[in-house]
Amino acid sequence: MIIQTIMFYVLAVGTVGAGVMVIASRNPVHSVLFLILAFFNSAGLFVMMGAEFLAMILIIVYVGAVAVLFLFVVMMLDINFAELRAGFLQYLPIGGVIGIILLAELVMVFASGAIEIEVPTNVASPTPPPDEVTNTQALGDVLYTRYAYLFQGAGFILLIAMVGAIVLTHRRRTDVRRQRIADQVARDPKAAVRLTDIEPGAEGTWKSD
Amino acid sequence: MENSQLLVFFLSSIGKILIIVHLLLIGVMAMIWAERRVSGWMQDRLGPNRVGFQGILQPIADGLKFLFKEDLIPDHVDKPLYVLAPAMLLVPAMVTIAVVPFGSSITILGNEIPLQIADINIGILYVLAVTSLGVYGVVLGAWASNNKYSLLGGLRSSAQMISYELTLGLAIIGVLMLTSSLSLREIAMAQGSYPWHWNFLIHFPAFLAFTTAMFAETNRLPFDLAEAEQELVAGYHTEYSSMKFAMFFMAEYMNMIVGSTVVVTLFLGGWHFFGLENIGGPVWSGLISFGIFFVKTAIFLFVFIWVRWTLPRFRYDQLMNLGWKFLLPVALTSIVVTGTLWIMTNSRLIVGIGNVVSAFIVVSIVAGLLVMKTPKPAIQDSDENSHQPLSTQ
Amino acid sequence: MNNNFLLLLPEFIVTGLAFVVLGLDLFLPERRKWVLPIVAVVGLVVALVVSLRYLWGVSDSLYDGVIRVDGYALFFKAFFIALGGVVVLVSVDFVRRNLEHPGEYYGILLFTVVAMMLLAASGELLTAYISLELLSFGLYVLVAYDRYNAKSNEGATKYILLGAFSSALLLFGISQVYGLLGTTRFDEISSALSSADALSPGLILGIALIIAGLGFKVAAVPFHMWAPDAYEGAPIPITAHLAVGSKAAAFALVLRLFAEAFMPIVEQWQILLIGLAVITMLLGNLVALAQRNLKRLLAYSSVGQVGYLLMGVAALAATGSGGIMLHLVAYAVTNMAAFLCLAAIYNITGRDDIAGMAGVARRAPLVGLVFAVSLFSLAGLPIFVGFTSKFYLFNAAAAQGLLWVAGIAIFSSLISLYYYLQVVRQLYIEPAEDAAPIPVPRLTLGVLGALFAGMVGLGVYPAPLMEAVQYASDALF
Repeated sequence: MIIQTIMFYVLAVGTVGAGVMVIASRNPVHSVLFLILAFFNSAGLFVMMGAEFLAMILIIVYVGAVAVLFLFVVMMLDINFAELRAGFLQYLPIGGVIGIILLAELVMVFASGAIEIEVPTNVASPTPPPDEVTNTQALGDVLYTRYAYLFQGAGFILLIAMVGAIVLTHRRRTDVRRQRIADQVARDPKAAVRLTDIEPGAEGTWKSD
Repeated sequence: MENSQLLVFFLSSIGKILIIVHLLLIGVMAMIWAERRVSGWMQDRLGPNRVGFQGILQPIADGLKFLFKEDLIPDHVDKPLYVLAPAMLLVPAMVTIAVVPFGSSITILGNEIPLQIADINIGILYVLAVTSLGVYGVVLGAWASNNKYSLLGGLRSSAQMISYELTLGLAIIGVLMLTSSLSLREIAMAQGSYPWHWNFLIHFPAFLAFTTAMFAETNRLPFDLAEAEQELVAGYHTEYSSMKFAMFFMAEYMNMIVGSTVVVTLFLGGWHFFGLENIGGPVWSGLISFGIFFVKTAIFLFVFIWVRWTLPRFRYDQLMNLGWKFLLPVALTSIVVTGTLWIMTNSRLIVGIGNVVSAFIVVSIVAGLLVMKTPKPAIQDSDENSHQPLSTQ
Repeated sequence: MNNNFLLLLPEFIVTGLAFVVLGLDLFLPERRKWVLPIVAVVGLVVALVVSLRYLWGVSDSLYDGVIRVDGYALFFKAFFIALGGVVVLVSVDFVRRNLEHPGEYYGILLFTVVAMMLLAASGELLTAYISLELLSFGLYVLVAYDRYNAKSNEGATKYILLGAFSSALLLFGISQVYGLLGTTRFDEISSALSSADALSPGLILGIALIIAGLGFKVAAVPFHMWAPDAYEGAPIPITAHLAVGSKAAAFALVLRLFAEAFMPIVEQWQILLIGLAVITMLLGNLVALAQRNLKRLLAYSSVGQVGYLLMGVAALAATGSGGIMLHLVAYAVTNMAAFLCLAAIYNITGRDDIAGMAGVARRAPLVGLVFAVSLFSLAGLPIFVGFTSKFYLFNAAAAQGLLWVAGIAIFSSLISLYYYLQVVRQLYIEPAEDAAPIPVPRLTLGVLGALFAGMVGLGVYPAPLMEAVQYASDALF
């Protein structure tokens, strides 16, 4: 048990620390890397909770794909981030005030009563015990039956996002030359080869490229 | 678990880890030698044959040379990331092997020891997760080098990885559906002793898609756009030298080996071969199964080298077209067809035939659309400018 | 768990329709794209007929209560399908003149209709959230659809950023509720809440966050900042869709959520909603006074209308949802008419500021008349439907004992009358800069006529609508 406790704190501190560094680091590429570190630590926390499927999916999807895209974009961006941050401090007073108000509200809410942290007893559909069913199967059992609509709905959302992204950025370029394999295949020697008689020593009959 | 069992588990695990990691490292050296010799053979020349018998010690000589070279860190690099990058590439390549079953099992002193470092129930997801990390080594090395050729290599690599990872993940779903398990050991065991029971026949299009995507993930020719030396000097590792460069180099070969073991496990029947794996006692059968697995992997690695010297490098738009317009639809179709036919007929034969037919249809449709829908160029060809280079998007 | 998927037939039809439209667009040559809206409208009519034919009187649920099929859902389903049809009709001329890629436009529009239908049917928080996101994503894209117009881009950017932010708030609230009650289903939340002896602060925080998140979606006042810019930038039919459809859909969710899930702790949230309602109606109507752009003016006026609706939600416990639903329908018909008039004018003159309306009544008499009527109806003048519904809504608030809130509502209605009259003055009294008549397509005239008939007819004889609303409202309580 002691090992698990230590691991939990290592991972939890790692997650929070990396999260802080995401917004604190000056270089956006480093931010993305800290984000990845945060994902990793959370995946570790998932594994400790016995949710290994979620942990792996977190890594495959977020670390393996989403963060790579972030990195891709950040690396390509030509933004002077120091310049972007120049006006940052002038918003500090108002931002700080709002932050303090929110913090005070949260403290008041949470201080006015104890937060129940025990798992509620009136859970509608309790999760199956982890030693009987692998959590991949447990997730599949509800995801494709009870929550089938959520699954499909999320699919529609992604479809709309994809169609929208393409439709809003697509433009038909007329100034590029594309390879057209059909034309290349259909080309015959008559169209491709030109026989020219060149006078020996004569200049100007052959156009150079 | 009893204490003695725990001890056996502990010791056998350490033993397996040591053996496998060393096999992997030796395998890398063997691959480097094999690649150079096979290349020589294919190109009708000799290849390295001076150091040791038939040049077999050449990789060791190379390694020593790398070790003794000066460890240069250029001034303009992002130092922590520059140092981290080779490790980020090498470590994922190495740890993937942990879940791959490399044989059935050996019984020593009444204790059955499975020939696999860790049989976790989400093995294949672990493989996908860890291999997806490899791209960071490339991208970080590229970015940290602070060199435009490196950066271009890194960008190409990240775009390529994202495009092909989808196929990699989708292509195995048919296999998972029929096995109804994510554990690599169970997937290997579910395939019978004879080649017609193996997954590559049942999921032939998915097998091809997976293999192609794996070539792309390992950054090997014909997918080595990230380091295309004619265009980008050496791509993402332009600024690297000595042992750091060697780590990039090793990671590439290690990725190939690990990828081959995964393909063998998923599609080529794992350690099965005409019942040969059942011969002999509890020890010998395990060792034979390991041998079978080893040979299959080696054959597949030969295919890697073969392809390298057979196919030229893709152009970038061809790479994207292949990934998004052919492999991805094929992988998706194979999921739908496998699921539908399996529920309807419960017959592996019909699933196999259906997969091939549907993949053929999909590829024909896509190819037809590509040929018909490519817009006519606005710039009309004429004899005068027909020699301009094709610009591509 | 036995799912009778026939109950989802309307949703299936509209979803299939969206795919058909997207697919058809791929194969239709540019000059045949006019087929798309026809297909869309015909499909929507089929969906409407099917839902009325097969779902009337059905009270059932799917997926363990995740999706509800009852009178309430049916009412909104029919309402949203009809609304979607009108938006498509409104779009026909506008899209042809001003936008490219019509296929994706209509396809995404149909997806938002599905989302709205499911939003009214959801009986569980996550279902509601997914439907809301489906709706929002469609609207993000549609708001930005006029892509060569900087204002459209600006509005869409603000909408996306604040929309994402509000989704985060909503999700955080949902996770609080789930964490503390162990369920996301409305009926189970309700029973958990009524059996709990003391409310934990985390739960109150969660409910407040849900209210804030939904407040963003309906553009209630402290969360309304995106609305004017998004309304101004969006293509006019989408502005109408945004002002009417998305708002009605969010209220369809709010009503069910508060009536079914949070009713046991009505004292806790009532005061919050009253506060929101009061500042929303006052601020919306006051800021509208200063607007020069008609789309912005209508945006602020719709913020004001949200205030009235929130007041109705606050009075939910005693009087039920009838008044709100009545007002939603009235507001939809009226606003749709106003935006269609604006689109008809904008298509020819390219003006959407108030001064640009000068003399329109003489240049296009029918458009001017319907425009004026719709503005009067928005202000709540008698014989138009806006009066009837406002009367019921304010009455409901007063019956609940919120007399002072109703007083403020009447006061802000008076304010709104002032700026509506400003527009009417431009329409009828100010001389036109260019006296040439504005040609209006027959289709537009037809839709305008129908909406006009709706505004006056329902204002004079609201009984059938009241019955429908009563039927729907019964399902909720």
